[in-house]
This record gives sequence, C-alpha cells and structure tokens, in this order.
Amino acid sequence: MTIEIQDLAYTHPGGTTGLHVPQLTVQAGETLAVIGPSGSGKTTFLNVLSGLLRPDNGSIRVNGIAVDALSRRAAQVYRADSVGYVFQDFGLLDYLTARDNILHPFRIARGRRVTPHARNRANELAKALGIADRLTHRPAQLSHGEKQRVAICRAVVTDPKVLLADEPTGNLDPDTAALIMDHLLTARDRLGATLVMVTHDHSLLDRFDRVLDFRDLWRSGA
Amino acid sequence: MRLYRAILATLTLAAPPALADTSRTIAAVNAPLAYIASVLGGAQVDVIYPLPPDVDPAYWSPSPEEVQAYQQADLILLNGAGYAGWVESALLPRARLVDTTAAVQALLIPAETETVAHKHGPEGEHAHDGAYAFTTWLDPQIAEAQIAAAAGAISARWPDMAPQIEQRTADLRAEIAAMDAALSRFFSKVSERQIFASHPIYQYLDYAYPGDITALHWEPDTDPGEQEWSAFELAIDADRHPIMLWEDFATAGTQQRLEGLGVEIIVLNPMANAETWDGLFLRLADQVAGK
Amino acid sequence: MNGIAYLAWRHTHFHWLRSLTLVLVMATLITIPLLAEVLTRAAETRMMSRAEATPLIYGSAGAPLDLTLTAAYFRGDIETPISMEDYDWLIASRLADLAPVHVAGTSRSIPIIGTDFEYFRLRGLTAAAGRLPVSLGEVVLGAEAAQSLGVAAGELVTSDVNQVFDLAGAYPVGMLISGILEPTGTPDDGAILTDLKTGWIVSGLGHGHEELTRQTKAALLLKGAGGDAITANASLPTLETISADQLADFHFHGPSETFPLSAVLVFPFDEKSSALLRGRVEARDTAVQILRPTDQIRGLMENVFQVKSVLQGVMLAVSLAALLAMALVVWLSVQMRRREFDVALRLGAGPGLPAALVASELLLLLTAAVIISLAVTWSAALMEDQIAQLWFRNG
Repeated sequence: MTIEIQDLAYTHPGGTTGLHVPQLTVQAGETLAVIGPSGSGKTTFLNVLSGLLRPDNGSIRVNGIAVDALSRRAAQVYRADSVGYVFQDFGLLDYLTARDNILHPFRIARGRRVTPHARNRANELAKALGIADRLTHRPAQLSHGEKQRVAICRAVVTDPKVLLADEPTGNLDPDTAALIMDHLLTARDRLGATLVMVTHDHSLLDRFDRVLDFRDLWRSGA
Repeated sequence: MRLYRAILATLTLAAPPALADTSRTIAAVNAPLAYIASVLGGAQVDVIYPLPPDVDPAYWSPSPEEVQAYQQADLILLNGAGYAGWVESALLPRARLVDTTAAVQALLIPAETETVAHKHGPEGEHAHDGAYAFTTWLDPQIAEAQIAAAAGAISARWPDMAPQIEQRTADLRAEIAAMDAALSRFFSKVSERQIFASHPIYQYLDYAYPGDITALHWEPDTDPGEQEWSAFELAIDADRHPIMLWEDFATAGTQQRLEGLGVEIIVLNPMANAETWDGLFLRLADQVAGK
Repeated sequence: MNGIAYLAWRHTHFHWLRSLTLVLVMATLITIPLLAEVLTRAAETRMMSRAEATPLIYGSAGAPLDLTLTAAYFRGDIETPISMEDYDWLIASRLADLAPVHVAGTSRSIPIIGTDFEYFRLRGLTAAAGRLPVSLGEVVLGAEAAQSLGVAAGELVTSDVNQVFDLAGAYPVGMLISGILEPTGTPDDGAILTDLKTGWIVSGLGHGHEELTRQTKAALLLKGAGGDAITANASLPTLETISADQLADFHFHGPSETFPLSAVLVFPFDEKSSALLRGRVEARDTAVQILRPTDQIRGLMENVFQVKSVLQGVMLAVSLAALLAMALVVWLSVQMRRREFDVALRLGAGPGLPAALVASELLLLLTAAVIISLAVTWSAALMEDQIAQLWFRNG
C-alpha cells in the first residue's frame, strides 16, 4: 500500500505547529521508522495517517484514498478496515482475556462481529506469536512482552494494509524489544502491509527500509 | 329414623353449605312439633328429627353430630316452657329458633315447686326443676297456638308457601279439635272418679278438662317400693273407682297389684317421642277412645 | 451475543463489587415504592373485600370507623355496647340475615369473639380440622390464630384476665377447641370464635356456681411455703374450664336481653330490605346507627393514601439523591475508561461507542435490579397473607 504525502501540515488548536511534512512517499510493503524528539509531531503524524486528525494543509493518500478528505464516518471505516495500531502502553483492556482483547476490533467496529473465522485467525496469530497458552489470561497476568504480542495480534487480526506502531518497544527490555520487532516485521511480511513505526530506539533503525527524522523536518521547515 | 340416618350420612359426607339452601328443612325437638312441621311443610320441606325412639325428648342430650343436624336447619321448632334443656347450651342459630309457646306464656303451668331429683333411665340423674310443665300440646288451646306459631314462622321464611300453610293449618286445627273432643268425652266420663297419674305429666289435661289428677312418681319399668304402695293405698278411695294414667305399660307386678286394689289402668302416652308421626294427635286421643 | 453487550457483560462481571453495589442501590430504589404500592393495594383489596362482604353494621352511635373495625375486623372494641334487645329487634324485622359480634376478650392477645352460629354460614367458614362448635364452652380458631397459639383441635385455650365486666372476679376461662377453620385470608383467620354465652362467660358476665370445681393452678400452689400453700394462694386467679358436664352450673347475671353486644353484622335479603331496615334504624333510636362498612373503609383508605403520597414525596427526594450518587459513580467510571475508549477509537470504533457501552452496562444492571425488585415484591405479595395478618392484628 502506497502512502503519498504532499506538503502536509497540521496546527494544534492552540496555534503551535504540530506537524509539517513537505513530501513523502512510502511504497507498499516498505517499513518506515519515524524518529525525533518529544513533541516533534511523531504521534500527530500517526494520528493524521490514521485519519483521526485532519491536516490543515497538503494531501495524504493511502493507496489512492484521500485520507485528508475523508468524512468522519469514512475515516472510521478506513481505520477499521485498513489500519492496525500498536501502542507503547499496549492499550489492552484489563477486564478482557487475551483472546477477547485480540478479538476486540470485531466487537467495537460497526458491522463487524466475531465469526468462527475470526476466532481461528486469532488462534493462529496467537500460536505464531507464541502466546497460544496465554489466551485465557487477563492482561494483569501477562508479562510486558506477552502483552505487546497480544497487542500485535489485535493489530493484525483484521488484516490491515497499514500497520501503525507508536513506540511499541518503549516499555520493553532490549531482548524483548528485538523479539517484538521480529514479530512486527513477520506480520508485515505476512500481510504485505506498510509498517510505520515511531521509535526512540536507534538500535532498531537498521531494520527499517527508511527512516523519517522529524528533527530534520523541523530544521528544514524552520 | 330413615330421615335421621339420611341426615347423618349427608353430614358425614361433609355436604357443602350451599346444599342447605337448595332444600328446605325444619328441625323439631319433639314428635308433636315434628308432626306439625311435616304437615305444614308437606312435600316442600324435609323434617329433621334425629332423636332415637327410646328417649324422652325433654331430657335428651344430642351428640355433636346431632346438634350439627339442627344447626343446618332453616327453622328449629322449640317447645318453649324450658323443654329440651340441651337447646340452652347448644349453639343454635338464634334467628332460626321458633319458640312455639312464646305467645301463650300465660297458659303455661308452673312445674311443681319442690325439686325432685331422681334416676331416669339411661340418661342418669336429672331434676324436674323446669319452670313449667312440659307436655304443653295436651292442652288443645296451647297446641293450636303452637301450630299457629310454626305456621307463622314457615310463612315468613318461605312466603311462597303461605297459601298452602293456611289450608294445612286448618287440617291440623281439625285434628286438634278431634283430639279435644275425644279427651273431653273421656274426662267428662271419668270426672267423678278418683284419677291418679304415674307421673306429673298430665298437668295440662288436669287444667283443660274436668276431673282432678293426682300425680305420683312411679316408673313404668320399675316396681314401686312398699313405702310408696302403702302411701298409695291410704290415698285411694275404692268407692270412687280409681283410675291411674300411665305413659306406658307398667310392669306385670304393678299392674296386678293395682288391679287387686280395684284401680283401672289407662295408658295415655303424651307421644312426646312417637316413632311415626302420622295423625299423632288423633292417635293420642285414640288411647282413651273406648274407655 | 452482540459485541457491545458482550463487552458490557465482561466489564460488569470484572468489576462485580461496583456492579453489585449499583444493582442493590437501583433495586432498593425500585423496590421500596413498588412494594409500598403492592402492599397498600393488597391491604386495600383485603380491607375492601371484607367491607364488601359485610353489607351493613348495626351498633351504638359513635365513631363509625371504630364500629366498622371492631365488628368486621375484630380490631379494638367499641366503648358503648348495644344489647341483645337490639339483636332480637333486628331478628324480628325479618329483613336480613344477622350475625352478632361480641368482643369478649383475648387469649394471648388474640381476640375472642362471641357470635351466633349464623356467622359461620354467612361468612362461609368451614372447619379444616375438627368441627364447628356445637355447645357452650367450645371455640373454633382461625388458621392463623391456631398457628400462633400453637394449638390443635381437642386442646384448650385460656382467656387472658382482662375482663371488662368483672362481676364475679377475674379469672381465666378454659375453652375446648372444637376445630380449626380453613384459612380465608380475612380477619377470621386471626380470631377465636365462639358463641355469645361463652363470650359472656369470658367477659365475666356469666360464671359457674360456687360448687363448681375450681382447679387452682398447681404451679401457683408450689410457690407457697410448705403446708400453708393453699391458704396463702386462695386469692390467686383460678382456672375455670367450661365443660359439658358443668354446663348446667353456669349462670348469668341480669336479664338476658340486657346482655352486651359490640355490634350486629347485617346481611339484608335484598336492596329493598336494606333500605327499609336503614330507615327503621334511623327512626328507632338516636343512640344506635347502621352503617355501610365500604363507606368507612373507603374513607380510611383515602387517609392511608394521603400518608402514602407524603411518603412517596420523601422517597422521591431520597431517590434523587441516590440517582445523583449513582451518576457520579458512572461518571467516574467513564473517566477511568478514557484510555480504553481512545484505544477503541484507533481500532475503528465509532464515536458513539463509549455511550453505547455505558448505556448497555446500565441496562444490564437495571435489568438485574428490576428482576430483584420484582422477585422481592412477588414474594412479599405471596407472603401478603402473613403481612396482612400482622397488619390486622397490630396495625
């Protein structure tokens, strides 16, 4: 899935510049690391990519879809169908088991439901990520690594074409972080999806096809 | 008796109260009243009279089941005059009680003043201390009043029966008149003779007809003691050809001895507890018909 | 199961203590007014049906409600009794079936009512055990009364010593229980019924002769010191039992037509008889009255409902406070779930998801609360007999 960005700008409601990306093209299947200091707009970038925030200027097309022009309703469908999301804090629901967390997107998105096929898919993913025996546990009973693997399963269970990850290894030790990185890349391979990942972990950068450094953008924009 | 058993059977089957409403029932405390009820009521009324044949209704004590039979009746004919003391302590519906002598209190004869307690058959000891003499129906005037009281109560209870009640009252009056005539004829005939009674149960005859009756306390089923005999022998006046009224046949010994003394025995049962009621007052009078 | 409903269920289940608290609060808020409504309605139905089953009441002039409650519900007693003369006057009118009521006393606080055999027929009372009384000294007990006294047919009940008429000295009277009545759901269930004469004996108006054996209670004798026990206790209350062989020994003081009655229940034969009788009573005497219990009970119920509406106002205020507290709990819970809703938004949920989730949970809790309320109300309605009995007895 191709991501094409032209002269993208977003200003926070307070008036401070949140984001400015003059031009960027990411080819389908490519992996993009986004780095930069805190407050440089990395998360805002992901929000714009996922259609949660509408840019003030410029265009953003994901696989031909003009994400900047989507209605809220269409943006919601786009997120549900095309985007997978992985969070730094895992974003798991404490009251659901690992399995129910993985199946969560099917329960909250309009028009979706938990089908036997979805269950099989969740089981396969859990097996592939080595958490098949943890499916009946609640997040409180899982290690950080296990939690993030559950979160990855949840992100890919709907077969999205864009995988967004917001510092997914930020809360993990280096070994686990590497493992999670493996899983994300494996998932990317399997889905043929585009992976955009915000990270502070420079040791992981060499595993990405491309790196977008927001520090440079600020400099060039300023 | 058949009626009595039928009632008991109905009670044992725990008949619903509604059943009592569908048929008309009148209960009576003695045979003359039961007879009056059966004549006045005719086919429209069932008469409840649960007394066994061998008891005196005046002193009878009913079993709980027998009281229940009375409780179910639409009307309960009482003799008044303190008759049937059980009525006082039994739970009977007050509004259904008919005191048949209430209207003729003035005609009632006070009982002997001295209280005489004695053994009286299977019922054991009791005292003849009722306020009035019991056998009220022997006085034709009272008997008529009792019929009138019953007729009035029935007509009031079932107004649809009033026309028939009038005719039936007339029939009963005719019967009382016939009884009156027979008794009158008999007592006129014996008025000059000395008249004894085995028991003080003929006070109303004594009052209503000529002649003077002296009452003893002799039981039909037991022979009087020598003391009684000697007192009696002193009292009789052979020249006045004494007669003695008995409510039932005395023992053979007593009969023989009375005959030996020249006393004629006449059985005059007041029929307080006749086994059959048909023509009760006529049959009562028939006992003295040819005498 | 719908996804939202599933999530609502999982969430309420996970936070079970919070859910349980909310359910109990809601259930209480629903149950109290519901229960009050059901019970007052049941009481009203019961009170009204008894009133409707008692066409007219004849009694002394005075508080009509007291007369009604005494005569039809056996609650309390009226100050001025009428007499047997009134009863006989009513009988002589031949316009109605009649049942006299004499509040004779109590046995362990259960009212002893002297009446006529007609009462059993007019009220349709039958014996579940034993039989209806046939003679002086016999009583039948209502089902509740028998249960609360713990007695059965064939046993004795003893009257309490608190007689109004104390002519012969106060002493408890023992009476034979001839039977226990079928339950009827009326005040008859909570009463001891007997005939008028026995009632008068209980009231102290009639009593046994001197030669009647008085059994001094053994327990009292034992309290005395040694040989002079009997002398020492001669003045203590003695128990007199009315039994078949002692019937003849009982006598009453004064002429029978002056004997007291609390009231007479009047069941006119028809509308015309009713009108005639009411007219005659009004013309007869100003010291007496004849009234329709339904009028009195309707009036009473209006008062009850007025009190109830005040209580409902109080309840409403309490409910509002409780609802505010609940709203706070829900709001706090939503605040704590902000992250959850944010994640859901990124995973493709619509903006309405938080509201839908909270609403589903509240619906779930409300359903549980309603079920509990209905169950409680339903069981209360089933036990309404007992509750009503308490009300009839103590209310």
